[in-house]
Amino acid sequence: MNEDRLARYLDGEHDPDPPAEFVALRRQLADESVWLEPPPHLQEAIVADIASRQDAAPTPLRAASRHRTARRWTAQPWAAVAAVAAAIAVVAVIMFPRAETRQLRMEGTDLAAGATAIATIRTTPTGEDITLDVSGLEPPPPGFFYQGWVRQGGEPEDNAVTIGTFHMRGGDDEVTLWAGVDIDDFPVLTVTLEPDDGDPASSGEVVLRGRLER
Amino acid sequence: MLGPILAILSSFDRREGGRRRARLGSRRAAVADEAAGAEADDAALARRFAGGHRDAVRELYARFGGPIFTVAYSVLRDRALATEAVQMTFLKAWDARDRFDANRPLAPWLYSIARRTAIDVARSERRHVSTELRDTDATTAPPMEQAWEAWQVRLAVDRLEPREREIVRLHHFEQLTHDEIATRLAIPIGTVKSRSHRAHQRLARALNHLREEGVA
Repeated sequence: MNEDRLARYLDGEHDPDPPAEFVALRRQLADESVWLEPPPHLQEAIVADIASRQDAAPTPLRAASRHRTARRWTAQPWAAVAAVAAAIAVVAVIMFPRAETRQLRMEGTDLAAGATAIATIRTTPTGEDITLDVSGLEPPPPGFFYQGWVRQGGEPEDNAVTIGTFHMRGGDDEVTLWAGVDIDDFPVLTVTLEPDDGDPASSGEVVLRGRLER
Repeated sequence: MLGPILAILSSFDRREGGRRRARLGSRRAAVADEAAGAEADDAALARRFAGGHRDAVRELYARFGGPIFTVAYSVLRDRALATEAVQMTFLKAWDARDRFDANRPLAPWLYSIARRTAIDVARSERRHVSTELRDTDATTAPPMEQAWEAWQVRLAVDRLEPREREIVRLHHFEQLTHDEIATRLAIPIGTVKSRSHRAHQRLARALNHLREEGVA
């Protein structure tokens, strides 16, 4: 039985012609990644960070945008009232941003005409938590994904730091990304379409772009 | 908006990538089904985590902190970066908890977040090195199958009894013989052999599916 043979092989018994899969498993068992432990303080740091996120009050715009993604607009009177309230909230938050939470609007390029996104940027002890509330952006075709970037300028060749990848194939339009750099130094936020080819460089195919005004 | 994007696609050969991902996805689903019995506790944990119970975070960390660190380290090969990736993985999982279907297996979902996060950290790090350093930087993410294998091996090892786990660690990581393990642990050689035999049978049982999947 293969299972017994694998057990004997892993236990050090000589096998004259071990399958490649056996050899790979033994190599994996000898790799330090299997035996290393995370630092002792990490669990408490994660628990504390999650507690602080849970306790944080949602911003008015965030609440409004969640409402928008959950339901489609209709001609009902309450929708108009909600639209006005949301618009006021957007203006208020953009004009008077809280120290730890800022927002910017992203517009679709020619590759994604009509697409928009509201980016909510929240400063945390571990970095910038960037949530995109996306509208009108289709999921990428198979073999492709979207990638978020923060840039010092607006051009693809400018110094850029990736903030994560996503695909939106699950039907959700809220995306959480992370930046480990100061957003004031990288104020341009873009989303590119990337082929799943393992190349870490940007394709330069920008589908969404926005700039954080200081 | 799809028109211009479809035009871009012609420059990429993506079909093989899609098929590969589909095959891997079905294999993962099969593994998840096979492990469903052993991970019955995970279902209850998943429900509590998805429900926003803060105490579930500690339990989730106790169960998956090690395997997530293994995946992160296998991608990054740097303890500090792997630690950062583990922290980000848990925060991302927490933020996405209301979108997680608690009826689905928890482990593949966490693995997926962990690997993607580690790759993002690696890419972000690479952006910061100078051009000169980048030219000599041979760090690349391991193939998806290899990271999945590392995750599975870590899960299997963590489920061993501590005494058996230590013998497996000494045997494989420190490359000690049974005699040397007996000396190190100050226990009879017969005890080492019986524990080693039992431990490797359990490992083989837990990991044999990787062979059938052709992952290992």
